[in-house]
Amino acid sequence: MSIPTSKRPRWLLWTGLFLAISLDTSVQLCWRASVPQHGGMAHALGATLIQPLFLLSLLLHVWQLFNWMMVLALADLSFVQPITALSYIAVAISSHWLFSENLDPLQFCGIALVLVGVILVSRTPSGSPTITDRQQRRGAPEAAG
Amino acid sequence: MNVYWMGLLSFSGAVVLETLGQVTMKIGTRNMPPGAGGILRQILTNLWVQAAIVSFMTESIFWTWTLHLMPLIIAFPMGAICFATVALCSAHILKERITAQRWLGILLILIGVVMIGMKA
Repeated sequence: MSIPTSKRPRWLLWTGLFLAISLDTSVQLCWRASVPQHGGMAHALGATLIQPLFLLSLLLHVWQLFNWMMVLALADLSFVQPITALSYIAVAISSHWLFSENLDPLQFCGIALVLVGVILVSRTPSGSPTITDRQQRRGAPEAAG
Repeated sequence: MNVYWMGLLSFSGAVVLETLGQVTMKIGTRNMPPGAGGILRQILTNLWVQAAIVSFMTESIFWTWTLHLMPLIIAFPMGAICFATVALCSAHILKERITAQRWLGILLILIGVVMIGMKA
């Protein structure tokens, strides 16, 4: 039984998206902090697996999975996935603070473009009509919006 | 093979697995019952969801190698390609209706993310 588009709660979708972006940012930063910068590939994998930060990111991954499945059940993949690009902004700014990676004017322009893009995507209808919607609308007047 | 080619190779693997994972996960959540119990049931019983989880887990191994081979601020924005691959698969495989405005938004996000990744 799927939820019809018109009855999908919007606040749940946006809370889920906010959580997805926050979790994605945290996971990326934990991952980055736990991967050693020197040594071979096997060494990198082995050393990563025993890091407490790696274990934390594993927990975050499970939470992320449950949250992402809820988000996907509420809206189109082509709607929700581009919006998660906001995590690139969060990661760029966090990397600047945590790992002293540079932020130059070009990156600020990139941040502005991502913001405009996310606003454009967020103002399109969040879901394509599902089969359930089409069945419910049959014989009934087309729902507004 | 030098470090850049290895980075690129492991990065490409991650992009393919990410796209595959997102599309199969979307298919797997189509008829999902609401609530955390519904999500858990879907993880345990739905083959599409399980395929997506395997894709994401394999991707994380590729991603670990990628991050080991190149800095996050370069590697992470390169994942911008996923916005194009996922959008194209959403339109053609999932048959989602993508309006001109959404395509424009996705394009701006893609360019913006690449710019975030470029270092002067």
